[in-house]
Amino acid sequence: MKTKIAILLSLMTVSLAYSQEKLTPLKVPASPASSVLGLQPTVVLTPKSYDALETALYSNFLGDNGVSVPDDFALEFTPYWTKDHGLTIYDYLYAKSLGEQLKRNTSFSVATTQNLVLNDSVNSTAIALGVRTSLYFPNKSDKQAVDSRLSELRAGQRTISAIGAQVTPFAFTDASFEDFWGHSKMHIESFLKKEYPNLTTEETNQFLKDLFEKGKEMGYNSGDNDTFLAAFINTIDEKLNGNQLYVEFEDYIKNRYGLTLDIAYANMISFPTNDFEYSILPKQAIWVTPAYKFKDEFDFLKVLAIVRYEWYDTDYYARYFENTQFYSNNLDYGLSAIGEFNKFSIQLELIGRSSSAEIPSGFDAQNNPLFRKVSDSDFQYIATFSYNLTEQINLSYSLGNRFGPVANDQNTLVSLLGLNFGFGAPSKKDLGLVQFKGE
Amino acid sequence: MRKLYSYKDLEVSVADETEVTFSVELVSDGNIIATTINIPKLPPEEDPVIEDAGSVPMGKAKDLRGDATVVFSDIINLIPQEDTIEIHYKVNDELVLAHKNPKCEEVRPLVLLLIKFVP
Repeated sequence: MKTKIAILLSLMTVSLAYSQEKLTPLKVPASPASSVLGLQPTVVLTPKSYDALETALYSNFLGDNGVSVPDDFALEFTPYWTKDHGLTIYDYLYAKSLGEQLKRNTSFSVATTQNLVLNDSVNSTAIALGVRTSLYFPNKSDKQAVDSRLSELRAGQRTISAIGAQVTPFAFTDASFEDFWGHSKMHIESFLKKEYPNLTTEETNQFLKDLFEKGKEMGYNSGDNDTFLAAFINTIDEKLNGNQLYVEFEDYIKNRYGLTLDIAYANMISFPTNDFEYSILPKQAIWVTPAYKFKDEFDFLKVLAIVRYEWYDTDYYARYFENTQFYSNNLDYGLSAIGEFNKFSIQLELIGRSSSAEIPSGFDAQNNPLFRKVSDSDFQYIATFSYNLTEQINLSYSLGNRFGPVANDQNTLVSLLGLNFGFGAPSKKDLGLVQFKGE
Repeated sequence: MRKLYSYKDLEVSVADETEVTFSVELVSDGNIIATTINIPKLPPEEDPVIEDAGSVPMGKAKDLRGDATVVFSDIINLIPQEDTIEIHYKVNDELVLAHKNPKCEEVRPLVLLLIKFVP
């Protein structure tokens, strides 16, 4: 137990340290594998975060032994983003084909539990394997939003690179700031007029005046002027709202308008005798989840429709879940809404279930087996609250009523705490040494 | 404050009559870049600009002697899957500089190259 706690604390410490500057906050864990294993109660598979590798630890909030390190673990992995491809921003945003989208967005998940209770007494191990992908359908609003933001960013970049290329030679001569300014001013003015034709003469003059005043205070030092040059260029960038444009575009890329279609499959492998040589595939599931992201004043809202089909190995459940009502097929359908507000998000789902099975009911006169078809319906409603402790650690809590589980169909209360860790995409190149000259 | 990565002692050996081509290549994904090459013999408004990736002619090597040629890049990387920025700068297909920085250090780096063209 102490070792497990130490590992958990180490993971949290490393992740906290690593995550200080990360820009890709995690979401509630929701991999196909963990879902088919029952580690997460929600039917909805929320879109995967952008990290190439995600891991999640699960713990029953109301456990018998108080707080404990969980035995349930899940991992999701997106192979495409573990290496570089040299994609331009347009290549990235608009994949050329369906196949390319599938390649980029396909992720694989593994989950394991040591708490699959068979016949109310035996704890067994189960592993789940899952795969999912996501297809985005670009639309006119999305294209306009991208083009408009990109155009503004590029104008600022052209201005800064042109000014940087022109003023640098003067920043490395044995001159005074006034000399530097005398050489640079006309170039700066010229580039501003070229990229920002709507600037009035007064606005341009004010821009130059402010830049001159700030530049004088930057400690121009004939000789090595990297620090001065960086400060000077940064002042121009600030006046052109460079950071604001960056943040707005980055935010948009993570929340693009329009329709996304997520498709997932997962299966569960049970080891009823805890022997690796003996395994059974008792449960499989397929999800189809269209999602729509709204824009403008409702841009915090995403609505998802859910269809999940599960099918079971009835022989397995008859043998290891005796005296239990079970169905060979479940069809789940419903709606979910996700609201995201900075670090906090809330997800509500309302899902209906239609179950059916054929049960042996004796033999006919010719001794042929007879079956009767039984069916049932159920309803699930769950709310999940999540909070990003850091950009790389997500804490979530689910509360609600779930479908009656196979083993104990009266146990429908959901009260589950989840902790999700994200890791970026390591590449072979990251292992090399890189020398930076100056800063 | 955006970080300036300054590479000032770059030297490329090219014969006088050789035509020089400067290239920017994307290695990491999703970079948005403007790179201006200050060619001393050209008026500033005619200096070539490379958006993201591409190549531009710089003329004959003998016309690039003397002061170092200044190349200045404004780089942005805002795609969430990428955690490192890597750009290759080349002259006549030969690597002059591989710039690389982790995004946790800077997501909008400024890169300055001073390249001397020697015989």
